[in-house]
Amino acid sequence: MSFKFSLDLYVRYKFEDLKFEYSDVLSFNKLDLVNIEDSINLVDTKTKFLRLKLQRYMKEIKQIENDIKDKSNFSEFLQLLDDFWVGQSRNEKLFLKELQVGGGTYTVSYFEVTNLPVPISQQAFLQVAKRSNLSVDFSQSEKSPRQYGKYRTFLNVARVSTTKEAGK
Amino acid sequence: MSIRRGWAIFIVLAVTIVLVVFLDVLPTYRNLKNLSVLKNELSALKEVTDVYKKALNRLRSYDKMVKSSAIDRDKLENTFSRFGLAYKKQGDSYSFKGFVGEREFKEILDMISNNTNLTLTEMKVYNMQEIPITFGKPRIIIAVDGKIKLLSTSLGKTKEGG
Repeated sequence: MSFKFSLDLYVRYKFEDLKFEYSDVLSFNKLDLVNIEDSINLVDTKTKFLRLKLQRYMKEIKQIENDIKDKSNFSEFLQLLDDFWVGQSRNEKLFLKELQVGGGTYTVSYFEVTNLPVPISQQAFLQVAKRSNLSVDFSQSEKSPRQYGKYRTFLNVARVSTTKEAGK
Repeated sequence: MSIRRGWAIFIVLAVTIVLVVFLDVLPTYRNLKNLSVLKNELSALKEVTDVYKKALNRLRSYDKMVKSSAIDRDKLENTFSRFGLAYKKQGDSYSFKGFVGEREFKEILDMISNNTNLTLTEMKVYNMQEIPITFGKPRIIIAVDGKIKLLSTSLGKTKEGG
């Protein structure tokens, strides 16, 4: 019987050692271990619960990070538009037609009224974008101008991407 | 007879030993094995707890950031009403539609930029006056159709957000 008692004692000591070793984890999870068999179930249940809660938090963190990224991209785009518009308005007649934001892309369409044969604002837009490290695509702009008396009106369509590439 | 008695004593002893082993020693031995199972369970819990603590800290810092200059729903709805924009609430998102002037349009953009919990998910803006007839300074009317999302964390949901 002494074998049984000593084994029992050894198990009890080991159990106390384990509780001490993981005391931080146990106190964080508000777990109080009383006997070995119940403890296994208790810890197992807590781990499963924590995993589920963690999954929910991670999903939420990812969502918040995406939202913050969208917000920061939008601010960058607005800054670019503002810098360009302020710089241009003194020399050129620009009129906003359409602004589209969604799904991570930003498109701004504007009319450029000029008596010159070609639109000159695109170059200025590209330069401002290059300084901001944003890429701009003007391929959807109208190729031929609309004629209004002695003035020509060009419809420029700028698709701005915030992928941090150098302005094309 | 003595051989039979000997066998009888042997059998009684054997049964006693088997009973002692089954009833006393085996449960203790089983607990010894359970100790290693518990150690594994605890180490798994520690692992998950560490990751969980990190996620919780990140969420807390986002919560603090989102709340740092947050606009509340009443103020946002008042702004829409003030500009005469029709709006619809869909959970944490608002879609809005209407016509505004240049100054009001700028104010909407500033509101989105200045409030940490506002993010613009989509927007279409049309200048209603495509080509000005004169190059004077006519009042520009802008049609807006957009969707705004109110950022919130599970640690600090807005009143209605729940």
